Amino acid sequence: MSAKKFAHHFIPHHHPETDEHHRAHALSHGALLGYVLVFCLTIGGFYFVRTTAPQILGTAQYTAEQIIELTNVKRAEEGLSPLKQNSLLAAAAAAKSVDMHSNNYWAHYSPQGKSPWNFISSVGYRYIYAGENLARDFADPQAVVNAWMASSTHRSNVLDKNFKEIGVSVSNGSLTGTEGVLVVQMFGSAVSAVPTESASSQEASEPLAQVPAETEAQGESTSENSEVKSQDLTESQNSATSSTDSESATVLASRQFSISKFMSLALVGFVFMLFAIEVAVASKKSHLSVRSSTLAHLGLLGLVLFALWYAVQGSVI
Amino acid sequence: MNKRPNKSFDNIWHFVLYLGFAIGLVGIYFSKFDARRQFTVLLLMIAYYLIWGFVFHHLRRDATRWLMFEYLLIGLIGLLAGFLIFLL
Repeated sequence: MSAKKFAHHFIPHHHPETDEHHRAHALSHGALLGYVLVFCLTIGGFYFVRTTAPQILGTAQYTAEQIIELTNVKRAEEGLSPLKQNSLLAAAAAAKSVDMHSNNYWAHYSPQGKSPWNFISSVGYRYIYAGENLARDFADPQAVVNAWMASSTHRSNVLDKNFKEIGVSVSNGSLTGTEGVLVVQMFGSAVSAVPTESASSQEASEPLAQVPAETEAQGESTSENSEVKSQDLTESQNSATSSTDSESATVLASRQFSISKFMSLALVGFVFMLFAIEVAVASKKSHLSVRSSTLAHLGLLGLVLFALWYAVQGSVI
Repeated sequence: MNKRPNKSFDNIWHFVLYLGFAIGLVGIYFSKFDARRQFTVLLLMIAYYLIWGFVFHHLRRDATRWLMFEYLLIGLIGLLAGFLIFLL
């Protein structure tokens, strides 16, 4: 008897004394309000812990060198030559990172209209080809590189055979209202790195620079996937060789995303399952009919579940 | 006067609702690695669901405060789950 009463929390049932049909107790308005409160308390709790002692939620640290190493692993898998670390490109990436934090933007082009190529040129790097990938809020370097590889435009930068050198900046800070890690990856092919015969064939054309197409899709301040930028190829050559420049960043609250994802999937999945049981029971019993609102709830919760399941930590542009 | 709408009325309205959700699903899929955009799509879908519920039940003449409150609570669960994952 008590088992039957317990089951009433999860399945729709009939009360003979009042001759009324009831939905699962766990789907009552009070219970739904309870789930809302659980989410509110979780959000408040995470916010409190993050602002007072974020290390409770885990810490992780990664460096620019790890990003470069993993990028070269991906290139090696495609039979491409590894990219050499370049101190000028690293300086350009660091300058871009500082500019993004101080001007609070998440885009390839700054609100003042500064392009990635401005940063590369301002450190004195003379390039024939250049490119930029950006990533933020990832907890580990492998996730950063995997995210770039999953995007066709970022992937084409990583696997571009025209690029010979690389510079990466990894930094902590607040960006567009969120505290996190910013990764700026700059690729280049210095004038001196190109063989003489190849360089002379390039002299007629202008140097090429590219940012992923997402920039365009994001509606950021650029409208072009690749940009041709004029630069004097006959000027002094600056092909700084590999450097040991490597910045690192500490990721605080690194496990927050996985905890949040698990908790959200469990709670939303539980409510979804209760509505699904209601539909299954109602469709089997002739005296019950499926409520139209239940089908709508199931649809929305299904969509939310998909979004939660498909969610990944961090963003790339 | 509280005439029960026919089955095809319900079916058409549910088809419209699920068609919207299918578009939302595609939007979320193609917004991978852009948490803010995914949250925006989710927000639009929740707004769509609430408007749909309000209009559908008013046309069906079975809209009650409790039913609308139920829609609001389910929408809130989706919103808070999305906020926790995409924005916090």
